[in-house]
Amino acid sequence: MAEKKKESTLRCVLTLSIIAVVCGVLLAVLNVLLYVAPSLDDITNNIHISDSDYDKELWVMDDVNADYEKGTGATVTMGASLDLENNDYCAVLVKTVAAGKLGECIFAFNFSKTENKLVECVLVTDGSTAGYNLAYAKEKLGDQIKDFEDYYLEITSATVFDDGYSIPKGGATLTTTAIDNAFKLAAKYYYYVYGGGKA
Amino acid sequence: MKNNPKNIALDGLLRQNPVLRLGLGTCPTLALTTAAMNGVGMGAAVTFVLMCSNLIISLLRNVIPSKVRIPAYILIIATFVTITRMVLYKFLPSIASSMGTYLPLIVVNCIILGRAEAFASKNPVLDSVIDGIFMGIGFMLSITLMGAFREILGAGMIFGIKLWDFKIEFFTSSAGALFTYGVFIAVYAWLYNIISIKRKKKQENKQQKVEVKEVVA
Repeated sequence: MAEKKKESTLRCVLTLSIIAVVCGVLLAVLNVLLYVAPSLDDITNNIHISDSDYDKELWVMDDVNADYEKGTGATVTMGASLDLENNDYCAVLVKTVAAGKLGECIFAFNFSKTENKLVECVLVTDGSTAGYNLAYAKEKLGDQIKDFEDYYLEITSATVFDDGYSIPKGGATLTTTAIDNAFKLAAKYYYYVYGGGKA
Repeated sequence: MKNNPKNIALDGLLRQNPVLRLGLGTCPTLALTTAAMNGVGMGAAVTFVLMCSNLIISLLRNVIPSKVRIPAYILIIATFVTITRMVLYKFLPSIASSMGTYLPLIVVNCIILGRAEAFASKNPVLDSVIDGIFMGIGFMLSITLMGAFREILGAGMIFGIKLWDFKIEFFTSSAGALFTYGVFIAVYAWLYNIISIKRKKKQENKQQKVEVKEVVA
């Protein structure tokens, strides 16, 4: 009787093990064939999915924002941690507080937590009532990215998109301040939460 | 009733429709019927998983010990769901994204485990595959119709094409999903009863005629 029970148990374990191994091998092979590498678009899309969450202060770090006076600073409106395949990303949305022609704009920063690098910066939306020149803003953003290299994080590349929003043309007196504040805050946020970089 | 392909197909599509008759797969039905296209995507994914899992479970029905049949079924179903997920993310990423978390949750969909336990584990391979295909199509038709109904009334669109500006936003909400589900079940049950009664009357008339013939003879 005991022998029969033992045999039955062994049969159950063996059957399950064989099914598990066959399924595992099949999935491993298919994973190689059907693997989709995460792209920068995926990361940006992940931020865009959260469009309705812009106003929700999900992860505000008051300490990070303490250095900036209201009127010239910026606030982190949302910080999200994304785990895409084997790469760990941190997406930070920064809203510049009314200051110059890029006041109340939202910037999205994607930091690679795996490599501790700023991967991408996107100008998500323009919120300023006054007009500004996007080309000039892009140029200034490019300058800031270069300067930023010595700040907290190593930067390999960065791109700016206008994202199809209607951008009014005009002067851009305090563009630099707004972009500078957005960068500093994103970097501080990242450094504060995850550490690393060139502090 | 005899298990011929026509009967199995009719069971899956109408007589035992998983959503409207058996009340299975309610979670994705309520969550994903905001648009008709979601229904097509989810239905196709479920049909593929049902067909493949029914095939393998039916093939192994005499090999898998009954004590471990449920974990074995789950392993097989999870494998096919993972394959479906990989294929969708590779070739149709937008549809995969629209299904979100409900795609991996097909593993615990009652329809699939229910058919594995109630049908595939007791029937031959061909019958099980036909059952999987038609149960899946029955599920797809139901949720696509519900999705179209909610999309038309809730967003004034059908398959993403705008029809008019009129919309009742209630139908895009969770309460709208439950209401729509209730209406569909009620209409289905009403139609099913009418057809059943008509069929019964037809059979009775036939029997009476036979009896009359016998008496005359």
